[in-house]
Amino acid sequence: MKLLNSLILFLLTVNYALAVPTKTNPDISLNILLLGQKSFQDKPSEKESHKGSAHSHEGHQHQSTDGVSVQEVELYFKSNIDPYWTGNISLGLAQHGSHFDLDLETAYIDSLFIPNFTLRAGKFYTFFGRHNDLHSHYYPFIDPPLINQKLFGFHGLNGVGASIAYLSPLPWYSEAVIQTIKEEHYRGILFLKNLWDLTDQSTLELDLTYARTIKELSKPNSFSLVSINNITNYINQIDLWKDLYNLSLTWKWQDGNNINSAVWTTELVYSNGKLSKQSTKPPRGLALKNLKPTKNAASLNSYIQFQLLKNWWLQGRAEVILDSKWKQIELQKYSTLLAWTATEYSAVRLQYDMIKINADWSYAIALQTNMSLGAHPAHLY
Amino acid sequence: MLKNILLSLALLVTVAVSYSDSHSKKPSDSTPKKKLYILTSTNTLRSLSQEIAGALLKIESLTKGKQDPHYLSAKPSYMLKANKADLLIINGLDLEVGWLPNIIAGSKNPKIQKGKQGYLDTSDFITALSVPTTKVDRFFGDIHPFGNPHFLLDPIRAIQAVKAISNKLAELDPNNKTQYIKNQEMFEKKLLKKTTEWEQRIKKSGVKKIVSYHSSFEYFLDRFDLKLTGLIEEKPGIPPSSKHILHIVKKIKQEQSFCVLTASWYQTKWAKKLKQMANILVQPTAIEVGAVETATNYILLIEGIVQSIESCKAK
Ligand SMILES: [Zn+2]
Repeated sequence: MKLLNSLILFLLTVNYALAVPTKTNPDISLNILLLGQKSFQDKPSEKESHKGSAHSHEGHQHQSTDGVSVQEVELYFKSNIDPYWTGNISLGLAQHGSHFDLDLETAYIDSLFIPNFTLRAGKFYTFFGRHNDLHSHYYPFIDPPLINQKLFGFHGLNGVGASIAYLSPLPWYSEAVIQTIKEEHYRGILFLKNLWDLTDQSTLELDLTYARTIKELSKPNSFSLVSINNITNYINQIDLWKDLYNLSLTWKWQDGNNINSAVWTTELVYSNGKLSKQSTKPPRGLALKNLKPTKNAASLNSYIQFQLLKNWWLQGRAEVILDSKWKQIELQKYSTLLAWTATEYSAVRLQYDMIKINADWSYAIALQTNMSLGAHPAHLY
Repeated sequence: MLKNILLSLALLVTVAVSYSDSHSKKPSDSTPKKKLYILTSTNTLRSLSQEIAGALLKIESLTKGKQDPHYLSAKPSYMLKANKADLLIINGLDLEVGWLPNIIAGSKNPKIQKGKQGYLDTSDFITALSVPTTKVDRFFGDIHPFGNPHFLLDPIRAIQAVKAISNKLAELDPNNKTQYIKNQEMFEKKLLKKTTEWEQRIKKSGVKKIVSYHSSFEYFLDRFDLKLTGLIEEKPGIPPSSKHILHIVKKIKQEQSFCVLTASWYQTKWAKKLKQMANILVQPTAIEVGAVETATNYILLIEGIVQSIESCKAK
């Protein structure tokens, strides 16, 4: 019943969102991500097939992610409240196996009245490298980097809290952000973003993030508004991290008229320490099934995006996750993606993944449509 | 560990705040006041503001003249410029909707937020054309839902925008008010005189109909009593299909409307097709100040469009 009410509310708002925009209504947009996916596995090693039966109680973990699904429907509102505050709300409806979850992804206010500072309060995605604060329809690839999934699970690092951002008066763009949120546990994040214009058309960005679990909660929090099935029966596949470090470097080039561009991002993540409590968050990718949480983990991921013609993108990504002793590569993943963006409002993306976990290779092919309705989407940099 | 980081960050913030304070509080009675810094979204607005301000103010544009102002990225370095601006002048009517809101939000500058004294939307001072009266839908392309934003190509509407700019400059910098008003009046007089001359020249050219790529020329055509035969782009923001090009060539021949104008930044694949199919020559024309070398100011920008029309006749 509760779900039905929420769905009706959701659809009503969608209907409102698609009405004629007026000068006072908030900007409202609706993003629809549909995903078709098929995975293949090399003949599993003996070790793996034994594991299969032993872990049958893991429920959703062994459910195939193959097939067609609604990756996410996101409804997004944004508006200045007055000359002092601006508000931001997004609701996400996502399919997890056979059921749908409606989530309040973000609901926060930002200050507009303090020179060089932005205060934020509410529920939001924290900064962590290049990826965590992106909404799913802005992801450079269909799925987030593996290390993000491994550390933060399906919903990313997101919670209720507060944040202070400070733009320094240095001659280049240099911003420092302190954030604290309550999600599963109390977390604190320190984020430093630096960006230099190399030429009129190219930039270099260096981001440093330090995240820490400030206080463990005995009963982890969950923010799912509505859930048909109880998602808490996911077993722990998420790292129970204590300290995290992220260093990311991005080089970007764009011609003057949005016909050709290139992006190269490299991210180094290091996780240190482990918490005692179990996590309840479901992981996103199919690749994480056989991964054990580790005490320490390190990851390197690097991707490159080429806008070949105005409407075509070719991309590649390589990711490795190392074990706690820094010796063995626990997981490697290679992805290529071809996207056709007919306009700013639609994209059709085809992604091919090769994943090696321990000694076994698996492969996945995914086709995603990314549609946006309503308010004009922002050209993120 | 965390404590140390928080402490050092607090220190950094304190140092930076006192640094920026010491800079902003510098001007005293004896030293001359720092020039106001004006940021415009387009280069045409920069040029128009320059006509009013002369050397009294520092004026910069986010869009370079050769860039299509529909498409820009919200580069953090633009946020840095916006952070220092005393006034932000925008075109409005959603021309900059894809990129400017992020720059304003990222500027962390309370002065230039929408509705504040340092925010000027010039479209508030003109009457827009092609305002949709029914529900808008992107099946019809990337239409501007509040009306066509390309009003600055009409010299009379440009005069209205310039008046709004000069009033705003006078409000923010009352010491130079008389100079701004004088400059505005001079510019208006000069532009009115030129507009009469352009009217006569267009009439003399005999050109009555225009084909254009995007609806960039709607206000210009309206002002100079020219008709639009058709648009090359299939729908706003959607490049033409071969079928659509065939259709437009047919229409050009039917209506004997051989004057084809296009903004200098649009792709010219289709222009070659027009040349091959019907020997129709396309005139790439600046629609922003600085888009071509000769369009160094607003009057030369409109002069360039008028010359393109005159050269249509010459062929
Ligand atoms: Zn336009």
